[in-house]
Amino acid sequence: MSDLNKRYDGMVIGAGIAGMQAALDLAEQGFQVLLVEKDPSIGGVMVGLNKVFPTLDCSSCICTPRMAEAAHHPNITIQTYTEVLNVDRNGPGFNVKLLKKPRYVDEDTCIGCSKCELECPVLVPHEFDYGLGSRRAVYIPHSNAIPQVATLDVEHCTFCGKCAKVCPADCFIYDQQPEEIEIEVGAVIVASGLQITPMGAKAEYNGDKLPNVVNPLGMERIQSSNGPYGTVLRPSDGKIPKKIAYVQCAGSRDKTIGVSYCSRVCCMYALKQALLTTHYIHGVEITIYHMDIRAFGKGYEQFYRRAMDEGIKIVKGKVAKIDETDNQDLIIRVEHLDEGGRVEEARYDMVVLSQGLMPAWKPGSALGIDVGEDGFFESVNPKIKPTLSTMEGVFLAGVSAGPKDIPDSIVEAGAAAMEAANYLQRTTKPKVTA
Amino acid sequence: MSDKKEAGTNGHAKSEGAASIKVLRDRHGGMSAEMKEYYKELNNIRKLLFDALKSGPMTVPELARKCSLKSETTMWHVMAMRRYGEVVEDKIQGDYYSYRLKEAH
Amino acid sequence: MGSRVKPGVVQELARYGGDTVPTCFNCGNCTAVCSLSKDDTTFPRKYIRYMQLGLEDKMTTSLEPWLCYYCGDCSDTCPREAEPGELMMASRRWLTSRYDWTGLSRLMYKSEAFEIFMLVLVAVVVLLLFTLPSNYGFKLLSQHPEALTTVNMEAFAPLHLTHYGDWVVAALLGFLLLSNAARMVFMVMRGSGAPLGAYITEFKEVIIHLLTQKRWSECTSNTAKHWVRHIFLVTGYATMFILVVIFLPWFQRPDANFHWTSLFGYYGTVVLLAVTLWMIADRMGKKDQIHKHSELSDWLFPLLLFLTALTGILMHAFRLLGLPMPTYVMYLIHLMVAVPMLVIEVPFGKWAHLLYRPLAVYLTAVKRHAPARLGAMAPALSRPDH
Ligand SMILES: Cc1cc2nc3c(=O)[nH]c(=O)nc-3n(C[C@H](O)[C@H](O)[C@H](O)COP(=O)(O)OP(=O)(O)OC[C@H]3O[C@@H](n4cnc5c(N)ncnc54)[C@H](O)[C@@H]3O)c2cc1C
Ligand code: SF4
Ligand code: SF4
Repeated sequence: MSDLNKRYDGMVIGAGIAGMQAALDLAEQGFQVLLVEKDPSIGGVMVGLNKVFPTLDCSSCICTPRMAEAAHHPNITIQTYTEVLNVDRNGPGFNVKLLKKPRYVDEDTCIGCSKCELECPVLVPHEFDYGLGSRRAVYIPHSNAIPQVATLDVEHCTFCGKCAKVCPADCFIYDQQPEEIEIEVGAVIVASGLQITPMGAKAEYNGDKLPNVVNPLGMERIQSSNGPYGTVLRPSDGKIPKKIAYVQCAGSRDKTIGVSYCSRVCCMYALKQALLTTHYIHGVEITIYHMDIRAFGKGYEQFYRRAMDEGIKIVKGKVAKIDETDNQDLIIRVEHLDEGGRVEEARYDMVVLSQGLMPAWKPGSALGIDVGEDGFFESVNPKIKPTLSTMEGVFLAGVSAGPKDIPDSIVEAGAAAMEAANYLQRTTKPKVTA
Repeated sequence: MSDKKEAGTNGHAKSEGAASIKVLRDRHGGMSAEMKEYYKELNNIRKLLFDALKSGPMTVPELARKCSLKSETTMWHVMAMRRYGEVVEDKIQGDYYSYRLKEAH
Repeated sequence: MGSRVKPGVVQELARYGGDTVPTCFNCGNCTAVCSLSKDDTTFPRKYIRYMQLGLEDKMTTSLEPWLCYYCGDCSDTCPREAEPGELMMASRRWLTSRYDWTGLSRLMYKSEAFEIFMLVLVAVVVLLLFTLPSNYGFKLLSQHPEALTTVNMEAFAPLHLTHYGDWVVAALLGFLLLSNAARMVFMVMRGSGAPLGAYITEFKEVIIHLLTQKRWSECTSNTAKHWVRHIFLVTGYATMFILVVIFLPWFQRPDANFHWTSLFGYYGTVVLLAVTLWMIADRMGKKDQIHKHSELSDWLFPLLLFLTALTGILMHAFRLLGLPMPTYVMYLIHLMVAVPMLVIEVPFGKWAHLLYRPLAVYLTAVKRHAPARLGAMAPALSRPDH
């Protein structure tokens, strides 16, 4: 049995940067907020990024305080490792059914000591490192995770029972079961965020087959000091890469893979990663192959210029093919548009596919709001009220409503929280305390 | 550290079976055949790598060759060993780090 | 000298099947994925850029469209689904119409009705040849009542006259095709600065590629199937052409007696029937990129060839069966299909590619001997125009 309240003013689905911001903004106005997250930790994509464009702030350093703030806010209740089963209209509000997945660990008593993880005999590719790194079958996702509690992945468990034996706080509850929770909420903010285009989407890139064709989020992890390798190495054999290519629009603006829109952030994150890599590896040569660089935000064009000044090669031409040599180097084939259409086959140690952003959550019948042609949640009035979904009382924030970067996600989250607050004021007895 | 606001199965008295891994195993029908295979291979690879590293520091390609493993598999396991404090970086050889076993446990 | 931009070209190209020209966003995927695109001859992107800008002079002087064999890799992977392969096809149609000095080709590509009208017109001329003169066709037949009971081709289409007719058709066709080809050479090479000697040393390319179409074998997709069957088709077609133009006295026997030329005739017929049927089926199935879009000219090519072979073999069968009237009528129908096909489609239609393709390989090789020119490729061409 859960000891959640029966009723919350607002529920936020997804605890990425947008969801956390929306929850905080709503809570600050005195509303009781339930923040639901499907993963073991809050933080979303941002907490796993290395540094952020264009300021080059350490991403987890500016994200973790946000996470802590949300976790400590008296008006916010966080519910991690929980799926949303159903949201049904009930008057102006909603009846919500959640599914709390079993962690097999008591979240209240676990002290986050990691003793169980160190003892567990199984190694599993770690989701947080996009498979490049490892974790154990019982694990704490990363050092910045909130909550700092262990989760047992029963699919990979050997049932040896060591974890409970070494646990100093007697936290293991091996007979835990999935638990359905029913609550009422007054308004919903959807902030379910992004996934990147599948690595196999464009078959000619072999992104799902060749180890040195890496996913850009994986590259963020590789670059992070707490990442899977601790330094920038290529995944096939640990070589320090000296020649790296970025393939822009690898998963965007391409009808053949069903993603015809521009994902907005890929040009910028490629420039950012490229620039940072030159700081990490002496003498590295980086080329960004693109159709056009879209540096759309404040300070972004300047960032683009800076990257060029620091020696990043920017080449116009969409890469058509990536193949592997015997020693797992990569050969890309591309037309140089600015050199009279010369076709080049160039060798690289590593290639990053600048994949696009796609919505992470397809709720289907679980939540009756409309989805646009591009798969992102539709807004009733994209120009004037971009955060209003097609269902009254359900609001949109962050990448779930369309590709955007972190500042835009945060701004939109604030706007969604404001709309939700107005809605709650209108439809329920106001509970605002001074 | 654990936050009082993190809701869940809070503060309820544990049932009898809570501490028994047998309950979990039975409920899930034990390890799947796939998982058994995975676990076996995992241990085989780790043993190969440990034995090889006993003869001294090695780069990933060298280890892969010595153990007749795919180099990306070797890389993943060496990085896992690194993460859990079983190996550490040694010197750089050309474009590669070499790795050695961490003696003291 | 700069290039003139002609905005109307995009609309014009649409009538040649190139309606996706504006869809392309000039990314270069198609060129880089194409296994035939290399060194100094890269396509299709650059050519599509010319099309978008309406750079007519660049378009008419480029040979790249003829170097494309439509494997379809580009269309499969084009992020805009702009059908670059089909745009190369459309540009081949357009170029065919540009090389043609009579203007008929242009009219036929732009209007399907006109193309059909031209085919029917020639067919009617053939029909009249068999009905008006007193020493040929049905009037001659009426003077030979015995030829109504036993087949006697001499009493319907006397060999000496038919043979002359053959030569006339061959000469006409040759003249039209060669004069158009000469125009192509002139348009493409004018001002190229290629030394005269190169035209001679590289001439072997025409022969090699005319006979082997071997560039096709360098495609990555569907190579074996399309190339091999195309070669078969060419041999079948060439066999029949040679039989009719040179060996007619032996091939078209007055009686039903066997002659060795028949063996070649059977070979040609079987190949033509089989390959054209297969091609028609593929075109209807639309599985391969090369068959996804079909203009009238693409249908006429295998269809007329199929009908020619079919009526030819039927006529042969009737003659062997000793059925005089059906033999004569089928002979007439045979010619009413074959002659328009040859006179209209070879110099003005899709068939002209049999000469333009090898010529293009040849001229590309010749061009390489030209001294390098400054600014041969304006950088502005590769940038989107905004
Ligand atoms: C490689 C890469 C690098 C980037 N670098 C930068 C950068 O440097 N600067 C910048 O401004 N932007 C950058 N971005 C963009 C940035 O990541 C996004 O703008 C931002 O993370 C969006 O936040 P979000 O909260 O909308 O989504 P997310 O971070 O995806 O958060 C969504 C959360 O919702 C959860 N969730 C999903 N579905 C459900 C469900 N059904 N129930 C419960 N929870 C659910 C997810 O688990 C996740 O925690 C980068 C993106 C990529 C791919
Ligand atoms: S019981 Fe499972 S999770 Fe716990 S230590 Fe053993 S294998 Fe790991
Ligand atoms: S045709 Fe397609 S692949 Fe070729 S340049 Fe245009 S958009 Fe790119």
